[in-house]
Amino acid sequence: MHPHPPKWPDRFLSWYCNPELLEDLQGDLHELFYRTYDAGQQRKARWLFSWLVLRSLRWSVIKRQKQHKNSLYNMTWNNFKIAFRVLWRDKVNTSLNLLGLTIGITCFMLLGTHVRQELSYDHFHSKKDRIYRSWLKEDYGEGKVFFNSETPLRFEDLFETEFPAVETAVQYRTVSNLVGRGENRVNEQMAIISPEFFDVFDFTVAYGNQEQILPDQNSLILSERYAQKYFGNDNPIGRTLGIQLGSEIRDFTITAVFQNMPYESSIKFDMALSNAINKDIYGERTLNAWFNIAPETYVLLREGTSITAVEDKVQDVVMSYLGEQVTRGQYQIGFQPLTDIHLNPDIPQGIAPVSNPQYVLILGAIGLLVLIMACINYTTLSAGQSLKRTLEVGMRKVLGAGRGTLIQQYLSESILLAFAAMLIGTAIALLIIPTFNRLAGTEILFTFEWWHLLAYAVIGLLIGLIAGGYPALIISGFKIINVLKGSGRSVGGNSVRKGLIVVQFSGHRLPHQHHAHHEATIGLPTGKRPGLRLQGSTVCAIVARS
Amino acid sequence: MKGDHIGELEELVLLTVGSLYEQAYAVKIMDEIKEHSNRVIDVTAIHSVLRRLDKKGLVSSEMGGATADRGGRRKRFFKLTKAGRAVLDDTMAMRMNLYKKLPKLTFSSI
Repeated sequence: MHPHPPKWPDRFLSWYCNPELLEDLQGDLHELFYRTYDAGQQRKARWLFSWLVLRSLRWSVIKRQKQHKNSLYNMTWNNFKIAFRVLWRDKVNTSLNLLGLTIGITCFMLLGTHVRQELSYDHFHSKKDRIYRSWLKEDYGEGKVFFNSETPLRFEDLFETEFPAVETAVQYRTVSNLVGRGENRVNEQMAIISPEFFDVFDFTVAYGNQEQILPDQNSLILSERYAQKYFGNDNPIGRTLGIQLGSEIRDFTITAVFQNMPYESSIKFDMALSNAINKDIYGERTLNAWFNIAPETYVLLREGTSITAVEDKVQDVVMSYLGEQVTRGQYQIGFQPLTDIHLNPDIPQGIAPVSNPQYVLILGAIGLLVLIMACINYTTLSAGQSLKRTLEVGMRKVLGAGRGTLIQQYLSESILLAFAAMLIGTAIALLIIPTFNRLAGTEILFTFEWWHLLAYAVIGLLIGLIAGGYPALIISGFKIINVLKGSGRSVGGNSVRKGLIVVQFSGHRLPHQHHAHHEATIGLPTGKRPGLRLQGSTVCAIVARS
Repeated sequence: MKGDHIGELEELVLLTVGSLYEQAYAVKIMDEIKEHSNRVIDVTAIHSVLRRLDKKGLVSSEMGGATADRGGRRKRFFKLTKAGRAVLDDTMAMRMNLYKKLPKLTFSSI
């Protein structure tokens, strides 16, 4: 049988290789194949051939598609070159347009980042779909309603024992205590959490005891930030910190250090104690009370179960415990998805901060409107400037340019400008984020991800198309005969431009509206009795309800 | 400027092309280099270097006649151009100049 080099690599080579280089390269590879083959190394010959085909795959060998390069690529490149020259020639106008677009994009970026941040609250937890926060609503009729997302201490045990669908229930509560011994004592906010807390939520232990972060009631965990604050660069594991509890100062041993909690988290703390300490703080009565509330209680459902399984059973369980004190329906326990907490004002605020979803919506709308207004601004300005281009357009048309070509060319201008504005706007946004955070009381953090590049490209293209679409249409619509006669009246409908200006001005009113809206609510639901949280150097901070 | 400076492998290939005189095609060059310097160089690397030298104008090439082996495919034979020859001369001269400057004394110590 006549030997032949492996078929597929051979075909692959013919496919990718530049035809001018193919013959001798293929010949050489074949020659080597036969040489090795005849030397008796059949297997090696095949293997070597395939390997060499792969090794030959270099940029300088690959087939080029010349056809493609000549038409579309060159035209586009040419368009952008001309666009750049036109923009450069009329510097005043260009910088005005650029300024407008840049401001629009900067606002859009800032507000967009803020809105995205608000919307992504708590979404980083991998078990977020199974985590719920419980609330308690006591409704005794005649307006005597007590509705809280802080719950009695006994709920953790109650959920775990009475509801099989609940995998784990954890407590979360914050208190302030004096930390340290001697003169330099600092009042610190700290959390009291269940030891299984880190199994439910996606917070990460940086170092220390990984299996059991809070082994007993004398354990303390710190964030990396606080480990740095209290121990500098020393290893804090095993060291102790004194914390004032009631009248005594107790030493707590640091068992683990966790990574700083992300901003988009409803649950945020820098130091935490185990809720095993509750035994030492509260009496038996408080621990088992049904009408004293302190911590937020979160439940993690088992996989494949739904919260309705728990909700359906709630009243039966409540009645089995409290049948003598309340009637059915008076003592309601409900559950709210973790990701719902940040933007749902219908459930009272517990420890986690709650934003008004309306503000988020309005801010998003303002961001978008500012951007659209910047586009309209560009449109009106360039439509007004279109007279300057009359001769150019006439000349091009005489030389045979079609309308489509002209539109393409003018769109290149606006797209080029849009991308320039995107770049500058992003840079400015990044620069002023700290100032913006200080002024607006937000905590925007910009983190780069690769998909942003794609989003940028799409947004830039869209802005370019929206802003430049109308001018491109009217400019390319000039009639040659008018141009040559010299009666260069701007062609575009005046009514369109006037309409756009009206939109712009009404847009300017919007921030005032938002301001008025902001003033109207003072942040507290009026007409309701506020609960007072008594805090200080004591741990016994129970929300008081008169 | 392009062509003013060539790399070590380029120089080796260029020299071999010159020395093979009219018989220089990639496989042959590879064999020749192996024979003289005991260096095993992938034939694809030789091709790549030859394309580079061609682009720099140091070698020229033309296709040979049809062959019976290698599936009837022709070979591409390379020749030194004047510029290629000049580059080789320059490099050799430069090396000799530097080599001559080695102090004689050091030979005893080496």
